[in-house]
Amino acid sequence: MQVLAISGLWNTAMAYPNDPEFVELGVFECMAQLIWKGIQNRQWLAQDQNIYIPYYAAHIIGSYTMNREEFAEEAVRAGNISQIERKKVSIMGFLLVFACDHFFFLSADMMLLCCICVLLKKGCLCIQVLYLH
Amino acid sequence: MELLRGQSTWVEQRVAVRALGHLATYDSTFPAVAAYRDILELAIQLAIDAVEIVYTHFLQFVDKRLSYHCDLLTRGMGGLEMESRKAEEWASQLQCWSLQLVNCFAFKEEFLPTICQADFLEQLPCMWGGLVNESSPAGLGVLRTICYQRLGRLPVAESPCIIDALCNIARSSDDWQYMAVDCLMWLLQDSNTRLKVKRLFLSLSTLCTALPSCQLMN
Repeated sequence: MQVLAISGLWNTAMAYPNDPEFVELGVFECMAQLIWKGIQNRQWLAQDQNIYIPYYAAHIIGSYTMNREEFAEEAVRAGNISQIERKKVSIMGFLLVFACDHFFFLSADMMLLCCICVLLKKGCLCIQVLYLH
Repeated sequence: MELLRGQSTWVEQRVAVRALGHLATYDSTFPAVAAYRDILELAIQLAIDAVEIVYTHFLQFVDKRLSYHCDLLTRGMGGLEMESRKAEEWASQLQCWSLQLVNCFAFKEEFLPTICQADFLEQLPCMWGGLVNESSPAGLGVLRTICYQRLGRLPVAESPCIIDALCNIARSSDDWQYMAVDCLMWLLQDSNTRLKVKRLFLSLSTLCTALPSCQLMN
């Protein structure tokens, strides 16, 4: 599930690296946190297909910073933020709009939820897939 | 940075160096990248070791290849041969992208002493993107950035093997031939390095007759 979401986002980042939508939604914070999680929580990394996540996350950051300087500035800001207060999530509001309470409390990994929500909004992920998982 | 430092594997290092290279490209974000004291040394080392790393950690032992590496390389479609071919391509990218990051530092004088270590400088002409990465000026691009600056030209002129390599590339039909010509021109135009590379005059003037766009000595 997690890999499905992130590889969808990876495809989008590769195809539209100049599109500000995901950048505004906090894609850099999201990806930075996923990379951190992979480094700090090896158990999580070894689960399911999570081993792919740090790779995709770093690749996505690279794609969105490829052409636009303002995106790169945003990435640097997000990197700094994620080191100081890693737990706070700027796209929490967005998450709350899209995630139902049930799903919210089931998963401890809010960042992944953000990805899923964002992808849902973009229509990259069908709702049945989300429901099944 | 943690991925670049090798907390994971070479596959993650490759995409980390790509992202950091992009961040280092812009004036506004370069200082944030340069704030990591070890990043330049890491990028230099990665450029030197890239091919070796991919060989020892992937190509060498067919039966020890991590399955997720194989999947990422081939996107789930392809056999052993495809994996190996892509791994070679990624090794070259790991090197080229590391060099791109080094190149961003090479524009700033304060980092030239770190970059201009003889053993690294002398390897630069041999680092090329190959047929799979022909859009990257690779090692020659870094060398050109170094030669563009007075502080960089001195250590380059001290090394006969770099000068020989530059002459060879300048005479070749390499896509990046003009970069080698630029390097040689700047070395000859600088009074501090001119005498050291004087023996090049002959080969360079031969070259200049062949390349009408090339104007020797202003």
